[in-house]
Amino acid sequence: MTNTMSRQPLLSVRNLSKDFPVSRGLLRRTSDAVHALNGVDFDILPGETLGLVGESGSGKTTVARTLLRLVEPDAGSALFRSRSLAAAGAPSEIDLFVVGARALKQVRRDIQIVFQDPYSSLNPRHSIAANVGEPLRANRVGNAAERLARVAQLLQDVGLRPDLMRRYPHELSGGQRQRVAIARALALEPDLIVADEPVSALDVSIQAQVMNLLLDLQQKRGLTYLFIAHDLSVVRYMSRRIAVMYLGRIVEMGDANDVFQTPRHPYTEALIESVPEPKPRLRKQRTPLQGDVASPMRIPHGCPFHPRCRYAQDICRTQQPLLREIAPGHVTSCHFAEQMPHAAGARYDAPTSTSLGQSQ
Amino acid sequence: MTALLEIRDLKVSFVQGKQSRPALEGICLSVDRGRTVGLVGESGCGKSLTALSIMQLLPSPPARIEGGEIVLTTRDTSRDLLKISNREMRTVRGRDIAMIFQDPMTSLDPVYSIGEQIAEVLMTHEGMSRTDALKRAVQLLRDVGISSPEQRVRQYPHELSGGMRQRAMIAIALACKPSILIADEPTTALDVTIQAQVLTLMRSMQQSLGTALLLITHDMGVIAEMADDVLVMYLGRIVERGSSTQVLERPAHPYTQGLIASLPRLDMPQGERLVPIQGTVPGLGAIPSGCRFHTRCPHVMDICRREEPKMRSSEQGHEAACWLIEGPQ
Repeated sequence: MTNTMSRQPLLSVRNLSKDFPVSRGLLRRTSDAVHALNGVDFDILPGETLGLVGESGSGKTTVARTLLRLVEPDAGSALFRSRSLAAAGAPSEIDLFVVGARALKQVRRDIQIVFQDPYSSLNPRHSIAANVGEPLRANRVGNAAERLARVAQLLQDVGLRPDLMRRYPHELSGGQRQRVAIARALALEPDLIVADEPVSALDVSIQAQVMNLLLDLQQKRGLTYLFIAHDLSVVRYMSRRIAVMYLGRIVEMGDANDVFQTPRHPYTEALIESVPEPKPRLRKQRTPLQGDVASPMRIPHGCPFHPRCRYAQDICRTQQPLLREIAPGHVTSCHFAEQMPHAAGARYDAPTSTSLGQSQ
Repeated sequence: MTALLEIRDLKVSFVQGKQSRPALEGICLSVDRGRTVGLVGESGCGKSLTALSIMQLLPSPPARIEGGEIVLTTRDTSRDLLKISNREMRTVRGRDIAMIFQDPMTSLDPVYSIGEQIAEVLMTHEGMSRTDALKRAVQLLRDVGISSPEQRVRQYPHELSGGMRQRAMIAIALACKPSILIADEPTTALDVTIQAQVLTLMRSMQQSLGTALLLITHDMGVIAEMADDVLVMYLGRIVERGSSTQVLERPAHPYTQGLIASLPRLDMPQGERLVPIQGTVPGLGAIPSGCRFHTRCPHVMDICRREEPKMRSSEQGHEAACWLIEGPQ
């Protein structure tokens, strides 16, 4: 359905910023702030997956939480085209960051979230049926019998037996619990699903099952995903477009193939180089990225990445590079993006699937 | 030459009341001096249990060692770690065998400074004085790449970043130049750029000290990067062993094949689909008959349900427990 719509973004985020105040001392005076998000801009087109990748503290999760208003942003806008509001006769395009409580409740039918740890996001005292049916009940969809039938259908859609309905979260495996969380997210037929590290807690064989499930559901239902993960290979598998975050900013964004084959930001390049690959013959003589991520309380001047950057020049220490388009649809915030060698990218030009081919 | 560490036919069970559930069965592995052996598998397969058995740190009860030998050969003497006294074992831990864990925050003591924790090892095993040990601690922190070690040595674990804590753990583990280091998911809690730093550090320390490494991880990438030999575990048994090139490039056991086919890779062409292993790992209380992987195996045959396959070799130095392999037992 969504594919036939115009290519207007489903969600358009501009200048999203968020500080978390830090209180210290006996009097809990606000003395400092964690600058979690510093002007984040991105669009998501209907039916696509935007992958958001970055290390801990980069602000990935804060983006997810502000979009659902689980955390209030300090500044910025997030224009969203809401099907539910349109159906209710209201203007369909709204700013998620300014809508009032009533409209927000309506809009939340269109945007759902799946968290990393299904054990803490499912209610342990509620049966699976109650957990999955909760959004239906909260939004007064149908009567009890209809809701139960819908829950049974949802469980089947995510590859679970409907008779698991009477079980409780602790009786299920990690993979099954994440399927339940996905079923719950699907209950109100949303357009956008924000998935925050949905497969990070799962073993590899289960991780692949859940990723394939998400891809199938996307195809069947025309879902749009904001897919957040720290694992580059996982993000790559799930996403058409990728945004790389560092210290509360998007430093590079573009088509997944472009970003991985010709990274235009030294941080992206370093991330790709750091991934150990399951091919002993490709064992890398790498020069690992130096140092730790700077504290988001003291973001370095100039380019926030310059203390760890192997290409840093004087200008990087004084002047903050802005996000700019370097190729169609490919943006980066590096002063020297044009000069970047593609040592890391070159390895991915010719896929070598032969050595692993026999595994089917 | 005898192996530095050799485990023969180790069997461990979890005992609860009158019930006994086998958690490790027929584990055989050997680690030679200076080599890196990787132990890979999904949660619950027994990787960590194997490590804890070597260190004699099994939570007991409920765990009980039912049989087998764990022979450590250092300074020309061989000892079965399962037979020596607790007192003797205490001299082995930290001096001959050291261990680092996944989460350095829970394995470091929060109320002692980093320096004191390194010094403790040196004072216990090498009989150093406190002053000398603290001096040596500064040097060790420098060796593991911690900047301004003179200040860091006085700091407490919570003042260090995750990567630095793991470096400090490595400094503690290597303080007495052990002959073997057991690393249980040493980089799983770290970000990927920090993981690369820690892996590089572990390799260079290993080269300069000649330490053997038993590396436990669920990450095939880390195995490929670090290990000479690989053992794949499933439900308490070793199902495949070989060099890391053999196991990762020519996996012989359907479980290993499935694990590799489940892994998303950076060089995957867009649109190619992963082929996950069907189903989930059964619990220890419900280990399937015959081959324990048969419930999830795409190639399952009648015999797999009845009889447990022995290790058969598919090529020189490469073997797997699967009925499909026609090589010698």
